[in-house]
Amino acid sequence: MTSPALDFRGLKIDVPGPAGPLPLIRDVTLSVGHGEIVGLVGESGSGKSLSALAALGFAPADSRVSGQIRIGDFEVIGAPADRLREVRGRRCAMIFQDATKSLNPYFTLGRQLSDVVSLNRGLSHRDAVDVVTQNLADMNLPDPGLMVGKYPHQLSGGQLQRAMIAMALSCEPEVLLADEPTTALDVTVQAQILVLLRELARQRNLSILFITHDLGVVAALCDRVAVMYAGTIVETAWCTELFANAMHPYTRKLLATAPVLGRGRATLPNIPGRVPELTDRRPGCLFAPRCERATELCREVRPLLLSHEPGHAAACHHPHRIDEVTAREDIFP
Amino acid sequence: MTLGSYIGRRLLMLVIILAGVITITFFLSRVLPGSPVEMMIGYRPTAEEIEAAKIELGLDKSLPVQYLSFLVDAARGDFGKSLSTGRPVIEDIGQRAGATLELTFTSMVLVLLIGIPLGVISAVNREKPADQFVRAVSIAGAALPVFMVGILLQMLFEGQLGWFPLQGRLSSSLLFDGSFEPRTGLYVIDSLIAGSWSTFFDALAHLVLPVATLTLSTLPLVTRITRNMMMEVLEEEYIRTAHAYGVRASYVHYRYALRATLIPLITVAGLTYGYMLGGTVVVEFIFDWPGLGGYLVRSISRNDFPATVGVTTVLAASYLLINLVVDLLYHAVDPRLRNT
Repeated sequence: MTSPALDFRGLKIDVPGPAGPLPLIRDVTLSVGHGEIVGLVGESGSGKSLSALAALGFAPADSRVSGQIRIGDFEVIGAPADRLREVRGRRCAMIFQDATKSLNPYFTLGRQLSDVVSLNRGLSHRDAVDVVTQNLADMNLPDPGLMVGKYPHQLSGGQLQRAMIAMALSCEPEVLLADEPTTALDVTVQAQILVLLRELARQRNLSILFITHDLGVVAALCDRVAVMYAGTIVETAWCTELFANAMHPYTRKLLATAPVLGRGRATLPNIPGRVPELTDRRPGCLFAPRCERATELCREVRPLLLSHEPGHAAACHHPHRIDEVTAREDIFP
Repeated sequence: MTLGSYIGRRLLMLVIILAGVITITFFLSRVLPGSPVEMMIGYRPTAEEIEAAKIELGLDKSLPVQYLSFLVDAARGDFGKSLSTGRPVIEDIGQRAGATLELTFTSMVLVLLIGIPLGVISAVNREKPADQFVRAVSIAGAALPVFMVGILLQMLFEGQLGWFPLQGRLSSSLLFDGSFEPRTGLYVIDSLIAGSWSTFFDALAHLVLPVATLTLSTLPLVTRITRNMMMEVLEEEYIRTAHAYGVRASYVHYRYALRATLIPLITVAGLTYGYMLGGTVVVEFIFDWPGLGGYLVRSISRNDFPATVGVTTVLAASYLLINLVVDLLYHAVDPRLRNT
């Protein structure tokens, strides 16, 4: 087996707190193969974006990062700033969540994008602008020649998001980190972008880590899914497998919270209890307080992410089994 | 809103604010202890002399009447006659404006040229020795009052080293030999026009200490504001984006972040000018600089109502006008405000 395009092993990020370090990321182990699209799902604050940023060598101020992150053969953690530039953009590009804030309001789109292209691909400014114009056209943006002369505030959120994707692709990276790139867009634009990303993955053998909390998007786009809870990966599986046979009780509940058309508004379910605090130093499973399958074992021993089926791993002492058919009513009695 | 109506509104505001400034200084100067009458007439005046002086100054009328007639005159640019020089206030101001302009303009340029780079270096090297040095020096500078800086500089550079003259704008030998004729009121420029190098260097030497004092007292403000603004910009998501796309750190800092800092800094330049006007009053007094600041101090201490109100109004107007220009400039350079 060749090494994956993007590989996280035991990633931990701590920030100093008043009573010892606070774990922002407790344990992220995850890999994205070449040409593979992996969805990273979980509630806000579970550490999805933070993990993706760590892959580019970004970490909160004063934090301590340990573990391993590899982009191909490049070891990110511990790499000095000037070496990080070798991968940033060039081998691994990130699409940020809020394109309106992620693009510089004082420079034209063309300037920002061509700067990146000319720096990363060694092109002259003129050639870079041509590349950028072509990339914008590829994103189905109308009048790309006009667009390069515009400032971010003159464009809509959807246009900016597509420009951001164009910027990411202009560097021709091997890995794309997409942090909720479609959350702010309307459904038709979202669908267009998802189709586009899928094509790119296939055509250019692009590996994508797609962060979202929208399970519908995951189902439409991803090959595999990883579920995050409180800074930990609790389950990974093939997309179809996860939707059919989720093992981790948290995943099951997460799937069940997705609103279903026709079910009415009265029964919008939620997961009882709260996400554990960063100061929570319990030894056992972090989900145990919210889990009705929890036993003494769960409260004392933190479960490891183990494969229970080929390609399907869960960090749970009492995973749901494939043959165990669970009705929605069983999850939310 | 079109640019035209924006400027119109701002000009209207300017007039209203100036009317307020005139009103406040008019009444403030009236409640100060003492009376100009005592100044005008000699020792132990008779009751008749006092009465005559009051009529001459218009002080026999009621305060509201005085105020209204003053307002009407002021609207025409007539602030009356100075009680101490006996000349129209506006002429006195015209004669001294050049001195203040030379002092504040030179200091302003220096403050921006030194303060902004210092703030930027400080922000980019946050918490590193360069930043700590800049911050320590600017806190020390901000803690020293203007008059203290001025006197210390005088003691060191005139008293101890004898490098620069103590006060004034020109050596008296040059000032009174009749060879020098001010045209613009900016002696450094006037001497160049006259083609006299000796006068030029003399004027320049006189300029050094007052400018240094005014610059040093304003520098901490600009440095700190620049540092804070730049640090805020460095936290912006679009800066992280640039880093995430492998753009060199120096390029990100001095191209992307600096532009984002400089544009809002334009407005700070306007505020700095106001701060500097406050400083120039003290500096001109210390260095016996024949500008508006020193004139204002003397007018106040001599109960010279017309001069006090006149100078205050002119200074306030210049501050308001500069800030109007600065805001328009800001609209011109910020792409988000352009065309709106």
